[in-house]
Amino acid sequence: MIQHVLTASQLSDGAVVYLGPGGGWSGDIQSGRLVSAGETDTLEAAGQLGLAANIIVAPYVIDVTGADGDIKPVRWRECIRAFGPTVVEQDANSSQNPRT
Amino acid sequence: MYRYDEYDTKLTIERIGEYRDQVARRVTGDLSEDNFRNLRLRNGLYMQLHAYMLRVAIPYGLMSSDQLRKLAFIARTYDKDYGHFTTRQNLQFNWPKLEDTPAILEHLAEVDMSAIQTSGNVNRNVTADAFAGVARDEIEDPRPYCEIVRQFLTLNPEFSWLPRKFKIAVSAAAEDRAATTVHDIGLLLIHNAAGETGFRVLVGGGLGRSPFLGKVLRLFLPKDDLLPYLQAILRVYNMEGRRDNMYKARIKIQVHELGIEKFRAKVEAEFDASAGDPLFIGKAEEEARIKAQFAPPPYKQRDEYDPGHEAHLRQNAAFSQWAEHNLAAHKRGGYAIVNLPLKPAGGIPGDVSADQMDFIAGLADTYSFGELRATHRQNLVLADVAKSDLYSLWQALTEAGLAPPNLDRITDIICCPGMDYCSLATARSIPIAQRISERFSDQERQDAIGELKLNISGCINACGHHHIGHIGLLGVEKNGEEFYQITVGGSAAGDADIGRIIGPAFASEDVVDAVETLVDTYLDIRAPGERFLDTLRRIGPEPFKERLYAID
Repeated sequence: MIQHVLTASQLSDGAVVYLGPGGGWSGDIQSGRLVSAGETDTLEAAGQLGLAANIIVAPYVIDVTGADGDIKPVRWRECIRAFGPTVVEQDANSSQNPRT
Repeated sequence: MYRYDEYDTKLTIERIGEYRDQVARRVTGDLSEDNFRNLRLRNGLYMQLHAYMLRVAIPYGLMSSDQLRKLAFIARTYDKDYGHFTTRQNLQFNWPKLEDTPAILEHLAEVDMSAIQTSGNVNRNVTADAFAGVARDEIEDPRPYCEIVRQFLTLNPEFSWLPRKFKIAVSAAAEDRAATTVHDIGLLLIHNAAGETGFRVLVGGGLGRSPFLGKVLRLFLPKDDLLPYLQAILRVYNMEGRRDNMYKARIKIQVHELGIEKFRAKVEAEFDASAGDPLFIGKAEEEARIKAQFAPPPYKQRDEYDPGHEAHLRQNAAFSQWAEHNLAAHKRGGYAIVNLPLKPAGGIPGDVSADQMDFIAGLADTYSFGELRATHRQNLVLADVAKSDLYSLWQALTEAGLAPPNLDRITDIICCPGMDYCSLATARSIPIAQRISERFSDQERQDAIGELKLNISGCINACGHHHIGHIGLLGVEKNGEEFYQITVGGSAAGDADIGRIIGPAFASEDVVDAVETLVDTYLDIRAPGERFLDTLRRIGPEPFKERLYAID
C-alpha cells in the first residue's frame, strides 16, 4: 500500500530529513511519520512550520511503501536521497573517499 | 599565470563580506530561501540531493600548486576529503555546510580563487585548451585572452542577468581540445591571409535538450576588437534572448530561430554602434599587463632527443605504454605535456582525494614549475615536464595509482554526477561509468579498441556531454526505472558532430552489455587504422544496430 512521508533538505547542511511523528526532523526515513493519501495536508502544514522556523527548505510529500521500520520510497531518486549515493567506493590505494 | 591585483582582491573580499552577511541573514530567517537562492548561486552554492554543493572556479583550468593545496585543505577541513573536477575545468565540493561557505570562500581568496559566477544566468568559467601556452600546434597562447574575457565579464553589471547561463571556450591550436563548437561562443585564434592574428568567432553551439554545433559568426575578428565584439553579441542576446521560456533561453535558440545571417546583422550593427565606446579606453595597457603574467616559465635549453628518456622507453614496457598514451608534444624541445587521467579502473571520473591533491601539487612543484591544469575531460595535466624527469615522475605517479595509461581510451569517461548527487538528474551516471570502466579495465583490450570517447549524462541537460561522445549515454527515467539512450557518432574535436540516437533505450542492467556489443561490432568490421568513430562514419550505424537489437 502506498503511504506518504514528508521530506525536505536541512537548512544548515542540506541534509535529507524526514518529518517525525512528534513534529521533529530526522535523517532516518524509518523515523518518518507515515500517513495515508487523505492526510498529506497535515504533513504539508508541518512542512510550513519547519520552513518558518528556518530548520528546513523545500519540503515535499513522497510516496513510500512498507510499514514502520521498513519504509522504502517508491521512486529511485527518493531511495538515493534516503539511503545515500550508490557509487562504488574505491580501495585505499586509489584514495577515493567515503561518501557518507 | 595570472595573479590578482589590488582590484581583483578588493572585489573578491568585498563580495565575500556581502555573502557572509547574506548567509547570516538566511540562517536567522531574515532572508527567505526564495530570496537567498539567487544570491548563493552567484557564489557557486547549489542545493543538491544530499547536501549543498560548492563549485569553485578554476579560470580556464589553470591553477598553481598552492591553489591545489588550498583545495585539498578545504576538502579535508570542510568537506569529505575529496573534490570533483568538472567539464568546465572547475572543482566541486559535494558536502559543505552552509555556515562554513563564507570561510571557504575566504580561504579561496587567500590564493586568488573564488566561486563567483560558477552558477546563475551569467557568463560562467571561460574554458580553454588544457595545453594552452605549451601546445606545439597552437599559434599563440590563448590564456591572456581568457583572462581578459574573465575580467570583462566578472560582475559586469550589464550582463549580470542574462536570459540564461553563458559559456565561452577559447583555443589557439589546430586540434580543438576545448570543445569550442559546443559553446555559446567559441573563440579560435587564427591567422588571416595577411598573416595577422585574430579570432574566428563561433556562436550558438551547445548541448542540453537542443544540441547545436556553433555557427561561424565572424571568419576573422581582429584581436583588438575582441571585447567590443563580445559585448555586441551579449547585448543582442541580452536584449532579445527568449526570457519567456527557460528551455528556449540559451543563445543557441536565438541564433537558430533568427538564422545566422540575421543574428550576424544585429551583432555587426551593435558592434558598429559601439565604436569608440569609452569602456575600452586604456584596454591596450591592460592587455599588456595581463599578457606579462603569462610569460613562459624559466625553461632550460634542452635537446628534443633525451637519451636517458629514450633508454627508459626501450627498457620499461609499462613506462613506454604510459608515455605513448598520456604524453603530448610540447612546443619546447626536451619538454613534454603529461596527462594525468583521473579515471582509475572502476573509479569515479574526476574525483580526487585531498591526499591526492597534495601529492599532485608536490609533483607540480618538483616537475612542472608549480602549475597544473584541469581539462574539460575531467583529468589533470602537468604541462611543463622535462623529458629527463619523465621516468621519475612516472614512478611517483605509479606508486600513487595515478598513472593509468588510458587517456582517450574507453575508460577515460566523461561523466556528470547524475542522480547520486544532482537534484536535476533523472538517472544515475557514475555507477554506469564505474561498471563500464571495470568491464573494459584490461589494458590490452583498451589498447586494441584505441581512441574511443565515451560520455555519460544523467539527464537531458547533458552535463556529461553525451551528445559529443563517440558513444554517448543519456540516463532517463521510464515508469520509475532507469534507462539509457545510446547516441553514436558525436565528437567535439575538429570532426565535431552531434551524436545520433541509435535505437530504443536499454535498461540499466543491460547498458554495459550494449556498449560492449557496439565495441565488439566495431572490432569485427573496422578497417586497419580506423577508430570507432571512423568505422561508424564510413559504414553508418546499421551494422551496429543489427547487432545491438538482434533477436536471440
